[in-house]
Formats: sequence, C-alpha cells, structure tokens
Amino acid sequence: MNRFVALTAHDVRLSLRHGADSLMVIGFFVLTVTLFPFAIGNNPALLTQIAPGLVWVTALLAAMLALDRLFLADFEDGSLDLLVLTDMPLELIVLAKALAHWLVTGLPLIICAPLLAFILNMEAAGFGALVMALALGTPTLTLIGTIGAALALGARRAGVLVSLLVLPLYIPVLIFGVAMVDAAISGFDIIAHASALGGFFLAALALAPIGAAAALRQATR
Amino acid sequence: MADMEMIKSIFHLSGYGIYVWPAFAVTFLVLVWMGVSTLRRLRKNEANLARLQKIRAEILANQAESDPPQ
Amino acid sequence: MIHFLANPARFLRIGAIALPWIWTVTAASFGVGLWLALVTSPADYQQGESVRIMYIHVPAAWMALMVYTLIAVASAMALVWKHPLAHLIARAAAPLGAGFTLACLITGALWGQTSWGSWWVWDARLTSVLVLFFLYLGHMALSNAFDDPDRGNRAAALLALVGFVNVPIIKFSVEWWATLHQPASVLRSGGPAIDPSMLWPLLLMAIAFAGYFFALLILRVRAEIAGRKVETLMAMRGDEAGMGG
Repeated sequence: MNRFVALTAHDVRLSLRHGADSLMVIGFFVLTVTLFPFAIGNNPALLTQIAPGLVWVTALLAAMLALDRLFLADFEDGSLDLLVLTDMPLELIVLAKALAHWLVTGLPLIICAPLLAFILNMEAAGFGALVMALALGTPTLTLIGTIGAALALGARRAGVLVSLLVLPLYIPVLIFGVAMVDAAISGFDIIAHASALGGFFLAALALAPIGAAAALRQATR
Repeated sequence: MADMEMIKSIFHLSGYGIYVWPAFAVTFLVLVWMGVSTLRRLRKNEANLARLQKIRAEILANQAESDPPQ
Repeated sequence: MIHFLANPARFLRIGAIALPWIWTVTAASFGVGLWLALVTSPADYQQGESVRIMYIHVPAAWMALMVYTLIAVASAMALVWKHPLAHLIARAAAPLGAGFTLACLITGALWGQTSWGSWWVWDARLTSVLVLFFLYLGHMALSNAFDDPDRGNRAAALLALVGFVNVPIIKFSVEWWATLHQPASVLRSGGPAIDPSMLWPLLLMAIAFAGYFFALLILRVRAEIAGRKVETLMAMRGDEAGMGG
C-alpha cells in the first residue's frame, strides 16, 4: 500500500513540477470552451442547447492530450523495464499511474467545469449532474487511456494512435455523460445514467489495469 | 418505349430506388476495393520477393566463383 | 487442423487447391443470390422495395462480426500458443473486416433513412458497430505503427482480444436495450422468423460474402508470407554485406 501511495505521489509531483500536463490540459479546456460563445454569441439559446455536449467533448479531448506521455518517460529512460520486473504487481503500478494522471488532469477538469458551464450559458439544473457525470466519467477515461497508452508505447506517431485506439471505448462514456446532464436539465431522473457511468467505471477499474499491464509487458520484451 | 418505362421503374423502385441502388453500389465498390487492394499487395510483395531472391542467388553465385573450393 | 495449417508452405499449397473451388461457390452464390434478391423476391408489405437492402446489409453485418471473431481467435493463438501464421492471418483479415463493417454502416444508414426517417441514431447496436469499425482501424494502424513488425503484431493482437468484449454487445444489444434497430430475425433461439422467399437470397448472399472473404484472405496471407520473406532477406542482406565485404 505504501509503495502504491509513494508511486502515485512521485508521479504527481513530477507532473506538477513540470507543470505542462495539468496546465496544458486546463488551458486547452478553458480556451476552447470560451471560443464558442464568441462564435455563437448572437444565439444564447443555441449555446444553452449544446453546452453539455461541448463541455464533455472538450473534457474528452483534453484528457486524451496527456495520454501518450503516461508511460513514455519511464519507457525512454529504462525505468519501465525495472517496474515490470519488481515484485509489485504491474497492474497495481498501472493503477498508481492512472490515479496520478487523473489527479493532474481529471480533477482540475471537474473543478473548472461549473465555471465553464456558466460561460456557456448552461441551465442551472444541469450543473450538479455535470460535475457528478465528470466525476464518474473522467476516471474511466483515464483508465481506458492506460490501455491505449501502453499499446502504442514506442510507436511512430503515438499521439494520434492512442487517440484512435481509445476513441471507440470513449464513445459510450460520452453518450451517457451528456445524456445524464440533458436528463437533469429536462427534469428527469438521472439514476439510470449515473448507474451506467458507474458501471463503466467499475468495469474499467477491474479490466483496464490487466490489459495495460499485458501491453506493457509486450512493450518491454 | 416500353423498355424505357421498365428501366425507369427499376431505377425508381416505387420511390425507394434512391436508397436501394446507392446501397448496392457502395457495397459493390467496397468489395471491389477489397479485391483490388488484395491483388495489388500480393503482386507487389511477390515481385519484391522474386527480385530479392534473384539478387541473392547472384550474390551467392559470385561468392562461389570468387572463393575457391577448399 | 490448426496445427496442420501452421506450416506456411502447406498453407499455400492447400490454399492454392481450395481457391478455385471457393471462387466458384462465391460466383455462383453471388449470381443466384443477387437474382433472387433483386428480381424474384417479394417487396415487404411494410418497407416496400427498401427491404432489398437487407440482402446486403445483413450479410455484411454477419461478416463484420465473423471476421472480428476470427481475428480474436487468431490473436489468442498467436499470443498464447505462438502459432506461426496466426499474426499473418489477423493482419490479412483486418482490412477485409473493416470493409464489411463500412458497407454495413452505410447500407444501414440508407435503410434507416427510409425505415426510421433518420440516417443515424445513437442506439446500442449502431454505436457498438461503429465502435467495431474503429477497432478494425485501430488494429490496422497498430499493426503498422512500429518499426519492429513483430511488436506491431503483438500489440494489435492484444487490442483484438481487449476489443472482443464488443462482439457480444453488438449481438445482444437489440435484446438487452430498447433499441431502434430491429431484433434478430434469423440467428435466434426459435429459428428464423422470415419467409423462405426472403431467407434464401439472404443466405446465398451471406455465402457469397463469406466465400469472397476467404478467397481474398488466402491471397492476402500469401502476400503476408511473401512480405515476411522479403523482410528476412533484407535483414540477411545486411548480414551478408557486412561479412562478405
């Protein structure tokens, strides 16, 4: 357990020290979302309608930005080979890295989301659901992302490749995430959507580390 | 004239023609692409292989000439 | 039989013998199937002539699923049992499967526009088939993304296995969720629920598509085997050049 926490803390500290990851993610998120009101300024009703989808798509793309670097630094300096060989289960190591990634990219996203939903003129009823949906969804996105990042490790054009690999698995999360916010705005019950998102999260939590670990073993062979 | 009517009615297909025929056409094109790309790949690879094998045979023949038998 | 086919030379020999037969069956099935589908089979009482799209949409969908299953099985054989030809079979099959999936999606959109009034809807089946299409593309991209082709093959095999969870989702999506897409009419527990005059063209087109696939698969695996020999020769040339001088 200590090693898990230590590994997570180490990775988070590294990302924060470089600053690039979380700042870039939030920066991209904020910039893109604030461009839309300018583009659709004369039509606030339209903005309101597309606000949930917009926030979600941008969250998705921003999460994908940092993915290809998830294992890259360790792969390039050789520490990944050591990690594969230690007696700490590789699956657990993947979870630690996923947690570090989410703390640095997903969590800031969730915190910024209400502000940006406000900028996009989203209806008040949707704010809570948006935060909850992102809270359930962004860890899933990170977990799915670990599989893509591990598979594409060392590939040419890894960034594009990772996006292509994870996109199909992101689509269901996106659909339910947006639907949950739309349902809340329309006054419907969101428990079904929340359960689906929760289900995705649990499935990803159980299966993604196994897949990612297998891919990491292949990469270091 | 009756033939023209028949051909037109086949294209029109009770109003569904505009969906049915493009569907068949697209599928046909996809199948053709699959076939063409397969044949091109096969020809390219086998041509490369033949060329390399010829070169290799020449190199080995040259080596056999220049290295006198022990 | 799997081990029987593990030897590339034997695979090529058997493939060469089987190929003419496969082409014959394919051509015959296409001929009769298209005739039945377009000329003699009846229009549907609800969907009119648009039902004829079914004769290419459904076989394409069946192929999309069957080819992915084949790739998943080949991937397991490659990763677990180290079957020598399995990676090549998976590589060869992926573009073909992607083609069938694309045909399924496009014909489905055309059919959906006439039946439901909508080109696309995010219901469980359509979404999961779109996911299948992206999985094929990802498999093709991953196979060719590395300088070491072996690494690419292994990563693609892993992706194929991870993505296999999508196949039962596609198959059972129309039963588990309330979808716009209609439920199964042929491959279901009670047996086929459609009239023989429609079932026959459907089955014949399916056989035609399958035959076409297997014929092209044999040719593609032949191409992959040749490609691998080329790679080996290129590597050896490097060695020989270094030694001989």
